[in-house]
Amino acid sequence: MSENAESPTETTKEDPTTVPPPAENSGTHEEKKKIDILLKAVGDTPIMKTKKWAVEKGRTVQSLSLFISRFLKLEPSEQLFIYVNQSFAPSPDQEVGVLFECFGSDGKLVLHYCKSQAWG
Amino acid sequence: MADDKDVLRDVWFGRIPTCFTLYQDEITEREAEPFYLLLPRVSYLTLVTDKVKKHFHKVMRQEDLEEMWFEYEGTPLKWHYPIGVLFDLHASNTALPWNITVHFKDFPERDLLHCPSNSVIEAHFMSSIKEADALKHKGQVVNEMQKKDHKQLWMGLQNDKFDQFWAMNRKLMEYPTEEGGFRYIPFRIYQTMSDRPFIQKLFRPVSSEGHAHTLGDLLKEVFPAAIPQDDEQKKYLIVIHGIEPLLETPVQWLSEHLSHPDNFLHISIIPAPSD
Amino acid sequence: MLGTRVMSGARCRTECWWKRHIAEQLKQRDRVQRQAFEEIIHQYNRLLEKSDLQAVLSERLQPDKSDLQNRHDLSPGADEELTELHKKRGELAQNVIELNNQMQQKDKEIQTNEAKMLQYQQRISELEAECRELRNSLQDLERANQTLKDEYDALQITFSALEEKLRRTTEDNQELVSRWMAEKAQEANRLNAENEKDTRRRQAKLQKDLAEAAKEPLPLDPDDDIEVLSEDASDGAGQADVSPSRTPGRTPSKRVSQPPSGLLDSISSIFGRRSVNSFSGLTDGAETHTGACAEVRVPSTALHTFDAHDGEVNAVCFSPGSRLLATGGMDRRVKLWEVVSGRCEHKGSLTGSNAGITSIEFDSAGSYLLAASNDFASRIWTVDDFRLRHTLTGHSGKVLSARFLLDNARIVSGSYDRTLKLWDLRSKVCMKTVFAGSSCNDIVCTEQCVMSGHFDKKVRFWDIRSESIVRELELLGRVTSLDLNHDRTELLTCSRDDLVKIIDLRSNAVRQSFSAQGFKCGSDWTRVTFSPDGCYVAAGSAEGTLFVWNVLTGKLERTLDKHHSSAINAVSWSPSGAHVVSVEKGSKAVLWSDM
Repeated sequence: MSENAESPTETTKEDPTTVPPPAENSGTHEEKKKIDILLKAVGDTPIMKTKKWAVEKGRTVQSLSLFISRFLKLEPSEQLFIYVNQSFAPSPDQEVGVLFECFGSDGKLVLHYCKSQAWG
Repeated sequence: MADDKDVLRDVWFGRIPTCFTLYQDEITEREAEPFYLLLPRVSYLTLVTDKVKKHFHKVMRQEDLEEMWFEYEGTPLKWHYPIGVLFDLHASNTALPWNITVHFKDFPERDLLHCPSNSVIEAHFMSSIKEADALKHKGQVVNEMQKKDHKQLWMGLQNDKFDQFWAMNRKLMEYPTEEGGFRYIPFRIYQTMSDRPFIQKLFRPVSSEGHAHTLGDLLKEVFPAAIPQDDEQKKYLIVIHGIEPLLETPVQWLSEHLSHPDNFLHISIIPAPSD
Repeated sequence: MLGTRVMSGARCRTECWWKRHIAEQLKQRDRVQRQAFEEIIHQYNRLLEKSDLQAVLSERLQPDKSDLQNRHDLSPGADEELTELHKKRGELAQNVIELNNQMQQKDKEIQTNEAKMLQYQQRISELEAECRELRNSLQDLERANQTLKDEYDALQITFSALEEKLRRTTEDNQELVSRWMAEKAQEANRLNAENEKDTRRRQAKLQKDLAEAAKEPLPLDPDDDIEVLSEDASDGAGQADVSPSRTPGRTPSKRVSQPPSGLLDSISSIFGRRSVNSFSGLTDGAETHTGACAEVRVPSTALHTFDAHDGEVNAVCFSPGSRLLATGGMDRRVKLWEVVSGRCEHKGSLTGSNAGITSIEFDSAGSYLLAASNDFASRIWTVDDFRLRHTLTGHSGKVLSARFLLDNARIVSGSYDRTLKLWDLRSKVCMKTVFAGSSCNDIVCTEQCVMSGHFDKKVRFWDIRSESIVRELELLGRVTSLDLNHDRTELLTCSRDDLVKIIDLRSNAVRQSFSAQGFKCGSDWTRVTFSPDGCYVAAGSAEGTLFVWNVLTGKLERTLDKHHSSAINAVSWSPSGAHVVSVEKGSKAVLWSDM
């Protein structure tokens, strides 16, 4: 993920600001493996041009949500809801790596995002 | 079996005696007495601490009131974890009552989520149930339920109504006979000293040959260090709802009877006392 | 209540164990964490409410005063109350902690006790199960025992009934036999009487004829006499009969010198004639006796000891030419051996018998071999090609002895079924059967007479033509063997009283008795033999020792032991006189000679 410029502020677990750049070949830290995420828009939510992302396992849902908001240039007041399996919204502090292990299919995790509550 | 129903009841009505003390640096008009409460293990802090809030509001100035948050021995307590889990994880080896410190200032944004209203708790609770069902039944059972059924689950928890809750929840505990159990067991393993919040993985309750997996099998798979070798001393205690089930307990039964109302089996692994 | 899980009974106990553990743990947890504090917290909160209420009330009662003042006024009282409450709270908390600890201890005790009780219960149920099992097995054993006892009783009853039956049947049998014997005797007497009458009649007629003939003197030709005599001689046993129809035709008037008298007289005269003729040499067949005695040598050493058969060897016989030796054993075979340079070489085996061989004899030409067998039959083989030629069946018991009659065309056999049978070899049928009344152990034949030795200690003399007993001789023990000397004047008997006797056939008296210390007759069929010249007698004992007595002196000539390891069953002396072969129960045969 090329988001070193837009470092999320909330997560303390990893130090994204110091994470060197780009690409999918993360490699310096053994734990920092990446998983593939496929983002799908729901309803009238704008569609992201790049749908496939490689995300570090340790990232939280909240940081991903922030990233998508910024990517879509949403207003700060606008909320973004993220869903797994088109059925539940994971807790913001949930790690994407855990979601991938439990709910990933065909080697990727499919996440739906929506500006409003889609699946209650 | 009568035993199973008793277990469900004991799990639901489990309580932790807690002493809430106001943080000493909070500014008060009067000295604040501690407030004692028996907290339900299966509920969430923000759902059951209205009385605490009211009690401490009485001695504080209105303008100082911000969102209440709790901390134990310096560790902020995440309200979205079940109370029983927090206690087992942080304070099970200490003397009762559980001494929680109440704060109204300096909300730790990094550690805790905000909880502006009960609907946030409800959304989180229902989401957990759906996630659990996605693992157990590919989400089919919870999706077949109606909105009012979901509401009944939440109301049951909120109002501490065992029968009302289980009238609905039993549907989520069913499985096709030929399978022998759920598709996967929804579980989370917590540790105090860990870089991850919890361990959650896919785990089948029944092996391909049809043997029922036990708690020991689960731990061997996802946390082998928890099981002591033959000559080693026990390094860890495996605590669920404040008790240590035997390692030969089948995980399918545990999932059905010792899950929290959010349908997850929350397991705390704490260091064994050294005395 | 959840799912439709079915628990197998065998796993129930383990499942209940962990389930019970969880239930107990939950109960204990609640005791410690909830019940210990419930009441206190509840009371505390009530107190808190009360104090809040009081605070509120006191605030309302003094609304005008400033907050500080209120607090001041109230503070001493309120402070005091507060401190007291704090103190109380501290004490209560302390109490609570103490009580908690006590309770935890008690809980632990309870747990251990409950665990012990569980153990005891398990042990009890195990023991009960064991006890039940043992009781069941005991019951089963008792039942089985009772069944066996009942069966035994039933068998006892059956047995005594059968015994009784047997006794009665034996009695009946004996009665029948004696009645039959009596009737036979009566018949014999009747026949005798008739015959006598006949002969007297004939005699009378003859006398009349003679008287008439005497009136005509005819020239007597001594040569004719001799001719007639030789004719008689060569016809052999066939001429021995004295049936009324034949005698007149055959007997020319020259025979006046020997008028046929009663049966008994005829037979003694036959014997008398015989002794004369035997020295003039017989013209039978190829292998002839070379005179009275060949070079008879009393053996002194064993030349060859060998295993003749698989199992007991019952019979042994030299061929008339002394070249071949035949042995017969319980292995159903007759084996032929050639005596060559002091050893017996196996020449061949004669098979066909279905049970052990009891006696063997060569015909006077040495071309045929006759063997009697325990399979109730007698068989004849040709010696040259070992082929079985005839099987004579008809006896209903073991055939203990079979002999060629002197014409080699007939055979007489004696059997355990107490009969003797006469067989014709041309037609291969049994011509005559005589009932001897006792099991026949051995037989010897002359031209007209058959002598048989029996289990009932008697030696019976039979006239071949008339099938009747002409004489009986009783010994002191069961007769096991008979042998004739080469001129058929003496009969050698061996009996179970361990005596070997020579009987003079002319006088029918026991001429000599031989015995020796250590000589015991080994079985009911122990065979003894004359030497070819009739000067010695050889017999084997039960201990495997061969005894040779001198007939003339009556004394023990030689004792040959240490070569047989079991009882000697039979002995044969080669017609050449050079060798003696003895066979034993233990499968060995020993070739003796004096070299």
